[in-house]
Amino acid sequence: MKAATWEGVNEVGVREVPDPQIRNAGDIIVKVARTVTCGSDLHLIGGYVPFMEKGDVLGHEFVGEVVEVGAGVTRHRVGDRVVVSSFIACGNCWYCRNELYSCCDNTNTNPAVLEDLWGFAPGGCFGYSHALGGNAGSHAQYIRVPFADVGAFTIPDEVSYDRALFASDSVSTGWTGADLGGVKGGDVVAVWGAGAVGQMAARAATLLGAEKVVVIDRLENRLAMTEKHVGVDVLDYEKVNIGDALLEYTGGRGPDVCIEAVGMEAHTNGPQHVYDQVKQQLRLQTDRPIAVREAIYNCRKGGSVFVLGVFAGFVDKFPLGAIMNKGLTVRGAQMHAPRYLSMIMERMARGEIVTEYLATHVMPLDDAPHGYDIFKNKEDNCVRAVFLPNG
Amino acid sequence: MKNLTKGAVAVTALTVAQKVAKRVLAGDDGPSRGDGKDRWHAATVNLPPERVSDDGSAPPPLRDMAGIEVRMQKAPADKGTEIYVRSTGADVADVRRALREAKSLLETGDVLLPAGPPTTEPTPLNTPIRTATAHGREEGRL
Repeated sequence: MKAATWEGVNEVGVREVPDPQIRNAGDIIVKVARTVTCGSDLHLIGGYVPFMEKGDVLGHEFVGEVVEVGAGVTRHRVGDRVVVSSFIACGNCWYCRNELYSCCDNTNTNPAVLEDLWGFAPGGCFGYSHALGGNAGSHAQYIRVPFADVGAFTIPDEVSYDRALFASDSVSTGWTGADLGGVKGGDVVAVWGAGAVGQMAARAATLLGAEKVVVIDRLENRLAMTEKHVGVDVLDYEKVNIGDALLEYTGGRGPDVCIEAVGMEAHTNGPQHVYDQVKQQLRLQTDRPIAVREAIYNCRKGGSVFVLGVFAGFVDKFPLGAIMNKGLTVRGAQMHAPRYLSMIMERMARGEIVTEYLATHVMPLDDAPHGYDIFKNKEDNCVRAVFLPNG
Repeated sequence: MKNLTKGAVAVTALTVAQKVAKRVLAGDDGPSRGDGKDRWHAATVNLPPERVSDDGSAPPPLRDMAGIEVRMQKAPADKGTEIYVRSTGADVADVRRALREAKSLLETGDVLLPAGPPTTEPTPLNTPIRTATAHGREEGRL
């Protein structure tokens, strides 16, 4: 079959690879209908998560049709249209039973690497390096989905592939940040990053009852998109001082909940960006935590900061003093999609969550290198590039 | 070549970070962790003790393994059953693998196999990764 693969640092290719096979009784094989780039893929492509091998299939956010089921699968049949959680969960370990699905104990087949780096290993993920299990990704005509009864959800007839696609990761991740960040009725919420995840975090915050939500970025097209489709306020950090603007936005209190949806390659103006860029390139820190610092600094006393962007290793100038002395709650997570996917599908069916507009560029899988190029460089106002592996 | 260099630097940096993490974050500035043969390796299974073993014997594949000592006890609150394994001669890598597999078998009835067939190819850069992942369940902090 055809697949888009990691060929080396900053090299994406399209090549023929072997078809996936059922390996465990809980597996299904899905014929991929839509698969989409994610900002976290750029960390892999750029070499910031150096556990990739030449030929690894990229992609973790996808929908498609079930074409084969393992002997132990009970919830799915051939022909089902499914959306699949990007993280793989067994459904039975303590973490899964407590709805912390991305922390699953049994789905990372290479736990040693991240146990050494982070203390304990999270679960496996599609297309996200050998540190997260080395599972082949979704930028392919077919994909093997382990523990399908837990991670694959049937798409209601009323919901199109185009809409359901973003439930696989973007919406679920956004919902994880807003929900576990503790957003409740009447809150004022600030979200750093107007990519798909940031927009969906803002939407989730609104649906969870936040009274005011503001999204921060510098890309005009993304801010305009956020205003139009998510219906929340926006701030352009190249035009206003974010600290001043948030004080004014919140009556001098600071946001109740601050959600960081940027990750390890954050950008800002001025010397802070240069400082972090130099340190990262010299590998004196692995990640650039600019948005995290801002979120912690600007959060109200006793507020909540949620780290939703992907980080890999270590950062410098982490404002621990602000966390302690302001009494903040800081939490992070990969997304726990099975916790939310049924609800998200229902909301999508009712039109409460709309995502099609995020697919600014749709193209054949053969064009994946170009898709990643414009996505990475934000050319042509690209927010997400969607690939059609089977036409 | 530029990308190759960048990749090599990244691999080196994360490898160093991993070693730093093992020593600094784990508080390992003190005595070395050693080879693991002198300690109990532990995992908690999300099942009550009576469902882990109805006669007190070790669950498979630990049950049939030579050169190990096994003990089990109820975990606090709702956390299941703690299984402890110590080598009395078995290779520690085998102990880790068997303990992880026992937990997975008990909780899910299966042990997840890696994706296959492989889509990757060996290169000079990914030799360390391939070596590490070939033994992914046999190493780590368990």
